[in-house]
Amino acid sequence: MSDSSSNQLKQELHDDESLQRSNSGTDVTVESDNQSRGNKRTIDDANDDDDDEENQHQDEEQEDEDGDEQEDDEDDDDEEVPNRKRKRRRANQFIDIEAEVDDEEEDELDEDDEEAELLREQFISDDRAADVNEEDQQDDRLHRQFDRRRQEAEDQDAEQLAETLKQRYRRTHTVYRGDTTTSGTVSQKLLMPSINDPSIYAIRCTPGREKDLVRRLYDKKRTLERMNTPLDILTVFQRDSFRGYIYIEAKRPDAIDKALTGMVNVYVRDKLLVPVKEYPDLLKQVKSSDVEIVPGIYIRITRGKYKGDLAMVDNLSENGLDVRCKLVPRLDYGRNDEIDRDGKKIRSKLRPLPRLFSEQEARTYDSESFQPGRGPRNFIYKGDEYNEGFLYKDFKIQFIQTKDIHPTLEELDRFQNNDEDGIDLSAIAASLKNKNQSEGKSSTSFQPGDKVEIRRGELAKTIGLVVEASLNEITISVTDSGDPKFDNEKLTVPPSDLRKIFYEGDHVRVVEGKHFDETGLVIKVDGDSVVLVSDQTKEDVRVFANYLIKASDATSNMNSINSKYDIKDLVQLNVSSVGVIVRSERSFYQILTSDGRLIDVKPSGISSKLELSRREQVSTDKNGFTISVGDTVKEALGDKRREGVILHIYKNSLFISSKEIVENLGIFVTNRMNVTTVSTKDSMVSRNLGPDLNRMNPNLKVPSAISAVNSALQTRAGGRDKLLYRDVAVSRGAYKGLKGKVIEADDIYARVELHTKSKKIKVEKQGLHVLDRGEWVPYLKFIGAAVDTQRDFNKPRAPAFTSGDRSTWNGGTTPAVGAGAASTWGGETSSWAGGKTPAYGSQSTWGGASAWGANNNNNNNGGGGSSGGNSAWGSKGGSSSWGSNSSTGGNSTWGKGGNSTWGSTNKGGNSTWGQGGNSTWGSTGGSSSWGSQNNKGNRSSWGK
Amino acid sequence: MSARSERACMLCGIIQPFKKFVDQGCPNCESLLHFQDNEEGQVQECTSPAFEGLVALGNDNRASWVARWLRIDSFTSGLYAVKVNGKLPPDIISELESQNIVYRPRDGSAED
Repeated sequence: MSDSSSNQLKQELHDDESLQRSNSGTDVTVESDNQSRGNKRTIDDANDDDDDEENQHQDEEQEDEDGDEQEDDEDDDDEEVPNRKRKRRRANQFIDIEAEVDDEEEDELDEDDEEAELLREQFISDDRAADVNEEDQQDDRLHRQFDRRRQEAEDQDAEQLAETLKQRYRRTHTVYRGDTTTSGTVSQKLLMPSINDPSIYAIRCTPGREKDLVRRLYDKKRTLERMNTPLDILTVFQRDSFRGYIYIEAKRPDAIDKALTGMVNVYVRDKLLVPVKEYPDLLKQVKSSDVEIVPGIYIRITRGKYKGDLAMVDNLSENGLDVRCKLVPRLDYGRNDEIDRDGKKIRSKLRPLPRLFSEQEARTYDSESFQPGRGPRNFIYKGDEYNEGFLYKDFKIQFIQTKDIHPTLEELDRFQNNDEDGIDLSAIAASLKNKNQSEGKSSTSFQPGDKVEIRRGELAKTIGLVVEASLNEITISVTDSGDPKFDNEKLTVPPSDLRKIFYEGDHVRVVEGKHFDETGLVIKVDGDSVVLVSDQTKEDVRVFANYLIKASDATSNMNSINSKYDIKDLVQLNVSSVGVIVRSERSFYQILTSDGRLIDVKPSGISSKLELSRREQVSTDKNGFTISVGDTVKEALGDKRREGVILHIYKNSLFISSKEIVENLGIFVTNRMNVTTVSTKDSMVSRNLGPDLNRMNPNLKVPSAISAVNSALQTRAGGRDKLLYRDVAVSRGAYKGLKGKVIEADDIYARVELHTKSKKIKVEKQGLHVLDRGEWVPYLKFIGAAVDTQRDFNKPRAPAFTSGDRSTWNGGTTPAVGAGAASTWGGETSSWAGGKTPAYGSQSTWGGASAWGANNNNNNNGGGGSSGGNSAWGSKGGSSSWGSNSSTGGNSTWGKGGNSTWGSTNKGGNSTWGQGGNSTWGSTGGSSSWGSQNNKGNRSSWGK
Repeated sequence: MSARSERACMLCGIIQPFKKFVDQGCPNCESLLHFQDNEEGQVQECTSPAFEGLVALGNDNRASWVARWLRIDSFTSGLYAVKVNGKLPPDIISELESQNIVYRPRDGSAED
């Protein structure tokens, strides 16, 4: 600086000389003279300043520089100089005060303070620059002096101020008090807790409120600290892995009660003292369940468009906060976007299905957002990078889930599109890690007798046999450790340190992982992994040795475990095709479709299981018979004429299960028009419509009339039900009397659409009358199962009978006949007329007659119920012959009927009765002639 | 409770809202990390939004074993995280080393 000033002086002299020499342009030289003199003076001033302030300033250089700068700026303005001086002094005063405050602080602090002061100084000087009034500045100085005095007077206050300033500045200026290399680092081992440390209590709380509670306890503690009534708790903490607990560190348990008074969601009573040795576990930074994020592992996205999607970690950002993931994009290329009135695009809210990126579609639908990337199969679309069809995108680490990934096969499949290598086992293992742990670490199937090797530690390479296996430790007996003296020694090892040993040729079963439950033959052993040929897929499978157990059987029993569909299920594949599952494998189903093809389908290829009710699965066979599930049918065409039980009916296709064919579980598919019914599920129908042998069985007694009718019914010929579309009237039941039309009929029931109200009712066919040629005919007659006589029975009209009657007949008051007989006869007549035989049943001998009654309605007479008599009577028209009286036909009738029934009691009586009875009746009227025939002893037999 | 915008300092583990880090810096590490003086990027880089385990630390931190174990016993009172995901950028780590500061990552990767 002095150099430059001397130069300037020289210049000055030189100028003077030139002035003298030239004698011209004086104005100019004077000006320059002034200027240089001004310069010189300011420099002196600056030097003076430096002298003045030397004692007070610690960083003079900076000040100097500052001064110089100001000099350059203010060269022209002499007036500025004193102002600057004053200002600086004032600044010093402030610094003095600050210095007092900062005395206790460290150097670093002072520096910072001064920097702050300088800033403030400049700020004030700016203020000043606008105000160049000398007097004002003078005033200002007075004020400041006053201020200074007042501050000195209030020294104690200043100290307080200092305290607040200290508080305020401490935030930014505290020295880092963490570990430094100079203070020495303490290994965590030395920090292990001892019993002298405060206790940690675990306190139960409402799950989910842990963080909230910690925050509130913190606030409470801070508030009470400020009020000088601090809580005696040291720390409160919470871990996500210990749900439903908060932990409080305190020296005395009663401090906890005090701290928790008035808190909600916390259960003070459930207070547990944590054992000292477990302290470190509470505060472990790495949880055992944590999965380290490394490239290649599978994760799930938890936010945004790809929420829940499986992704593969591609790379990690440097600080580990961003994860670059590879995933299958969900793009619709703007196809579903709509444009609103303002011309704005409304993004479709639909979530597109995951599909690999398609360059073509991007170009077609949204070419503006599309641009080619670096490689041949690398593209940029909407700012995201796509490579080989996959999306590569950065996700924040807090938005990904690393635990409980459980990738499904379909998801993995999507990732494997381009990889021939197959699935990276270790990646899956990492994702499955947590699952295994949750299921119990060691349940990985170490069983006594397994041959194992210790994997790590001092005992590595030791081979032994498992002797005992518990949850967390396995006891092995050493068989080979390189040193014979350890042989047969028992060792206890954690299961994670063990590896099972298998040899080529072992037959094993996979007990965990993707290939769960497959069996196979070991063909290669490669460290921890074993390659086996699966019995099921015939492919090479690489698995961890510990996921295997020895197995002797080759069957897979996975089907029943986690499958939505079962074998023999009718499933919908797509809109048009259905099929029946005939085989179920780990990753696919074999399905026999309705058109007879056999296809392999992944579980995802099945859209749903068809649950058709029995009613829906009804069809008709070639002959028009109703067939339903469970019926046995036989093919009408084809070489083999396959026969089987209907498993499912879907439209025209029948899925039939046959016991005679082997392939496809015996299931085949055929058209309904190609089968004939062999038998329905409930009852046998004729085979090939041949004679019903059952009915031919002479030993079989038809139990009742109704069954006879039924059997008659079942002998009907094939074809449409006669009743269909006939007009009918209901003759019994709740709908009795109503008329309608039959719209559906099966063996027993008919569905009748009523004329009166639009309703379809189901009634027994026998309860119907059919309108046949303008006449109401009972159903049984209509179908020809019942003969005309039955109608006669039903419509009791016997004029001949009554005409021939005597009073004895009608009244039944024929003492001559005998007490029992007379009443019986009477009763019978009444039954003829009215169909009621109250006294009738009492007579066992009249079994034959009971059949008469039975034709009307008397089933309760079954005691006598020999059908032989009945039919005979019925068929021959006993009544008519009676009526005529003279006809011998009646005779024979009686004879027949009488014989069978009466024969059992008294043969002699029968014959006489048959002959004599008839003739006498016919000629002269029953009563008298009977009476005359008493001597033949008929009566006595009657009476019985 | 603005849990979503809260971040934890990777050096000391204190939990504060992002804005507070920007405006007021870290109460413990400001002299090293200078959150106030720098752009927001510094806060982005040196604090982590992913942390786990909430610890409330009072003034009497010296007596606390928890504080000692987590090496927060010399820090100011506040809420701290047990585990902070992420690491400081390498340049900051080397800068800290030159100042004799030991940086022990709080993401569980520290070994001693």
